Amino acid sequence: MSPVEIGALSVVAIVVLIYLGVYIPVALASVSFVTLWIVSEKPILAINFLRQTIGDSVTEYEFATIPLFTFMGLVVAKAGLGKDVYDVMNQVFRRIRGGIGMATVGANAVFAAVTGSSIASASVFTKVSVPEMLRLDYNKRFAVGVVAGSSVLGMIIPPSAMLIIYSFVAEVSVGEMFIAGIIPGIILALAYIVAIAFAGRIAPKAIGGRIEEMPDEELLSWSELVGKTAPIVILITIVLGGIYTGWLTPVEAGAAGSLAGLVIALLRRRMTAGSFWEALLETGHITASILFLITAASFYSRMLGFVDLPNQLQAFLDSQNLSFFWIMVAYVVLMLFLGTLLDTASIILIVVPLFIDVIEPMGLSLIWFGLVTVIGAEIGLLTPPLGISCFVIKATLNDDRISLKDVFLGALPFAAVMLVVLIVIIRFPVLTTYLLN
Amino acid sequence: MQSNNGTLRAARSLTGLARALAIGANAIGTLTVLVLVIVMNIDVVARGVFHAPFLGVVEIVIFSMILIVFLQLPDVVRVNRLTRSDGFLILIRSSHPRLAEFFYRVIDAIACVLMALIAYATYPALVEAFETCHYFTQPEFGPAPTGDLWTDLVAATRRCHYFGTLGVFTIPWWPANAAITASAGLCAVIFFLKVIVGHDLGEGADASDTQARELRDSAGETS
Amino acid sequence: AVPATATETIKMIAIDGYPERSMWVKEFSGFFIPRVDEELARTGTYKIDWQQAYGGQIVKPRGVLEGIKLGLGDIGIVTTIFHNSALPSQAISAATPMVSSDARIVAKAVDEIAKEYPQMQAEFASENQVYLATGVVLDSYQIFSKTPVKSLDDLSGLKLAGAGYNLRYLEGLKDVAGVRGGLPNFYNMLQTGVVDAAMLWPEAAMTFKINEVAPHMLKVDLGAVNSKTVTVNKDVWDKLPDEVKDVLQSVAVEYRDRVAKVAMERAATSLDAFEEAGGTVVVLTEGQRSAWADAMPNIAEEWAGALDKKGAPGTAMLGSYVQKLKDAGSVPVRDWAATN
Ligand code: NA
Ligand code: NA
Repeated sequence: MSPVEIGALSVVAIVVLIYLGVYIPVALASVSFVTLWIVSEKPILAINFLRQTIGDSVTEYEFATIPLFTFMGLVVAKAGLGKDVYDVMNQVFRRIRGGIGMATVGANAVFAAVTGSSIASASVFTKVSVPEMLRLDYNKRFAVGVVAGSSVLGMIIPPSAMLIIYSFVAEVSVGEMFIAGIIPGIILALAYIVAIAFAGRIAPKAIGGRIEEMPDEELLSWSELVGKTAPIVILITIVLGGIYTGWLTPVEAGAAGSLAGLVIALLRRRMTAGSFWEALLETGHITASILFLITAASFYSRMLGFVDLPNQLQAFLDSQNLSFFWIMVAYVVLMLFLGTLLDTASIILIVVPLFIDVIEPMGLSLIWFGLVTVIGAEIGLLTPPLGISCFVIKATLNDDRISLKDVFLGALPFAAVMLVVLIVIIRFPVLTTYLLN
Repeated sequence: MQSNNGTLRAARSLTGLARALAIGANAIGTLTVLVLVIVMNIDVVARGVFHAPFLGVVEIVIFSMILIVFLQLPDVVRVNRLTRSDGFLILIRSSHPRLAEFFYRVIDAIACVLMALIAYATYPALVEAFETCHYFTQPEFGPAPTGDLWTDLVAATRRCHYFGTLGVFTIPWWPANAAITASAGLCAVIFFLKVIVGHDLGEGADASDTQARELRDSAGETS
Repeated sequence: AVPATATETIKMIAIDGYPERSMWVKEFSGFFIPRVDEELARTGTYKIDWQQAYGGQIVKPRGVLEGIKLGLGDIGIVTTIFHNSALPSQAISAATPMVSSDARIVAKAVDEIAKEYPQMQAEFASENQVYLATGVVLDSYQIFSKTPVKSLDDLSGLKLAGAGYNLRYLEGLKDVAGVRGGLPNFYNMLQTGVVDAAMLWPEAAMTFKINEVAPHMLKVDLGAVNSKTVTVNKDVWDKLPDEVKDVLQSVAVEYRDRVAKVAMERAATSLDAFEEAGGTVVVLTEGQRSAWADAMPNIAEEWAGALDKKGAPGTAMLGSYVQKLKDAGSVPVRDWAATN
C-alpha cells in the first residue's frame, strides 16, 4: 500500500473508532501515531511527531479566547441574562401566532452574542421557554423544536468556540471569523422566524398555541425594559464592538467581557464565592478538553501532511475535473453524514485539514469556507441518532410527556431551514465577507 | 482470591492518591484562569489609560494556557469529561451490559497507552530544557556556584532556555515541559485505574444519573 | 553522453510552517530546489525525490527548528527570531541597528560569520542540524505613523508598535512607549489609536495596507535583519554523499543572494507603491539618527557579552561582522564594535 492509501484508511479507522465510543482525541492521536509508524517504518519518528505536536500545539496566543469566552458565557448565564432577553422578546412578539417561538429565536440570537456555546443556549431556553409554550397549548414538538433549532445560533453568531476552532485549523484570524459570523447568524435567525410565520399560516396545527392577552399590569414598564436590555447591550458593545472596531483583539475582548460579565453578576447578587469558583473550574475543564482535542487533531493533520494526503486529494479532484458545485455537494453530504454521530468540533477538525488544500487554490475565501463548515457541521446537533442539542433539551426538560423522538421530530424542520441557509451562503459568499471590507 | 483482594486494595489506595493529585493540579489550573483574566485586563487598562503597556503579556498568556490545559487534563479524565461520542455504548449498555463494560475497559486501556506514550515522548524535552539551567551541575562556562542556595538558584534559572525576548521579557521553558510530561503521566495512571477499578473509578454514582450528566458535560465542551 | 551507472534516488522532505506564497518559500520551491536538481543532473549519479510540505502541513512556523531536529522534515527554513534562546548568535544583525539597510550585504556578512566562526553552526548542531544558508527577507525597519513625524522630538509622547528585538531600539528615546504586536495586528492597532506609529519594513507595510492608516513614513533606516536559516537534519546530512552535500552548500549561497536581491527589489517597488498611494516619506537627518543610535543602550555589547560568558566568541564575531559591513561600503551610524 502507498502512504496515501494508508492515510486514507486511517481516516476511515478514526471515524469507526469514534463511532464505537473511543475518546475522540485518543482516536485521532493513536491512529495517527500508528500510521506514522507504518509509513515511516521508524517508531522514533512517530514518537518525535507526537513530542513536537504536544509541545507546541497549545502555544498560541489566540487560544486564550477559549477560556475567556467560556468563562464569560458561564458568568452571563448565571447572571440570568438569557431570561431577561426572553422576557423582552416575548413582549415584542406577543400578538402573533407562534409569537413565543419567534421570541425564543430572537432571544437566542441576542444571547448568542454573549455566549460561545449552543449547549448553554439550549439549556437556558429549555427552562424559560418550553414550559410557557406548553402552558399556552403549543404543539409540544414545536415547543422543543424551536429551542433546539435556535440553540445553534450560539455557535454561529460570535463569540463562538467553533469559529475559534476553525480559525486555528485554517490559520485565519479569529477576529475576522467572528465578524464574518454576524450576517449568516442573523440570516438564520430571520429564516427561522419567517418559517414559523409561514408554518403558522399553512399548518396551524403543527404550531398550535393560543394568544393570551397580557393584562397591562403584567407588561414590562420602560424602566424594566431598560434594566433587562442594558446589561446585554453593554456586553455586546464591549465584545463585538471592541473586535469590530479593532479596539480590542479577540483575546482582550474576551478578558474585558469576562470582567464586565462578572461585575454585572455581582451587582445583581447572582455570584457567590462558591459559584465563582465553579465557573472558573468549569472553564478550566472545558478549555482542557477543547485544547486537548485540538492538539490531537493537529497531530492528525500533520500525519495527513506527512503521508501527502491533502496534495494527493487535490490532484485527484483536479483530475476528475469536478466543478465547484459537485465539490460543495460532496462536502456538505460528508458533513451531514459525520453529523449523524459526531460533535461539531470533531467534524471541523476532521474535514477541514482534508479539504483546505483543495479550497485555497480554487481562489475561494477561507473565511467563507469556515462559515460553510461551521453551519454544515452544526446541522448535526439536530439530527439523530446523536444530536447533542436535542439530548440536552431532553435531559434538561425532565418531562415524560415529551420523548427524545418528539425532540428530534420537532427539530427536523429547523435542520431543513439550516440546510437552505447553508445553500444560500454557499451560493452567495459575500454574505460572509461583506462586513470585512 | 486473596491476592485479588490485595490488588484491588492497592488499586483503591492508588486511586485515592491519583484523585488527590488530579484535584490539586486542577485547583492550580483553575487559579491560572483567574490570573489570565486579571493580567489581560491590567494590560488593556495600562495600555489604554496609563500609556504603559505590559510587554510580557503574550508570554504570560501562552504560558498560562499550557498550565490551564495540562494541569486540568487529569481531572477532566478523572471525572469522565474527555470528549467522546458514546451513542453506541449507551445503545448496547441496556441490552448487553457486560459487553458495554468490556468496551469501556478496552477504550480506557487504549487511552492509557496513548497517555503513557505522550509522557515518554515529551520526557526528553523536559530533560533537555532542565539541563540548560545547570541547577545541580557546573556549567561549561560562567561562574562557579557560590554555595548560597538562593543566589545559585537565581543564577541557574537565568541560564535556562527561555521563551520571549532577552531584555524585554523572558520566562524559563522547563516548568511548561514539566507540566506536560507530569500531566500525561498522571492521565495514564488514571486511565489504568479505570481499566482495573472501573470507568467511574468506584465512586459509585447512580448509573442513569451519571449517564445524563456525562452526556450534558461532554456535549458542553464541543458543541 | 549519459553515464552508464544507475541514478541513485534520495528522498527529502522540505518543510516550512509558512505558506508557499511567502517569498522565501516561493524562492525555495521555485529556485533552490530546481537549481539543486539541475546541478545533480550534471553527473546524473544522484537525484533527489522532493516532498514539499509548507504552511502547517507538517510543522508550524515556530516548529521548523524542532521539526528538523527531530527528523520530521529533512531540510527546512528556520525562522530564527522565534528562537532567541536556542540560537542567540542569530540576533547579530538585530543587535546592531543603523549599520546597513542592504539585505544583500547583511545576508552575505552573516553567512560568512556563520562559516568563519564555529558558534552559529554549534548552536544549530546542538539542535541536531547543519547550517546551510542565511536568508534576509527585509531591507530595513522604518517608522510608519498616523501623523507626520519629522524629528525625534515628534516621536516623544507616542506609542509605537514593534515586535521582538526592535522594541529595545526605543529604550533610549524620551517618553516613547513600545507596544508589542504582531504584523497582522498593526493595521488595527494603528486604526484604533492603540498605537500612534509602528516599526515595520515597506514591503510588509504595503502587504498589510498600513498606508491606509499610517500614511507617514519616517525613513530611519534601522537596518536589515537576518531572520531565516536553511538547515538540514544532522543525521540525514551525515548520510548524504559528498557530491550532494557540495551541491546543497553551493546552491544555498545562491539562494542566500537570490532572496536578498528579491527582498531589495520588493522593497523598492513597495516604497514606490506607498508614495503612489499617497504616503509621504520624510528622511530623518543624519544628526538625528546618530542622536537616536547614541541614546540606545549598547545592545550589541550586551549581545556579545552574553555570548562571551557562554564561552562563545561574541566580541570577536561582532567586530568581524561590523568590519565586513564597512568593507562592503556601509557607514555605521554608531560603531557597535568600538570598545568604550
Ligand atoms: Na455566540
Ligand atoms: Na446528529
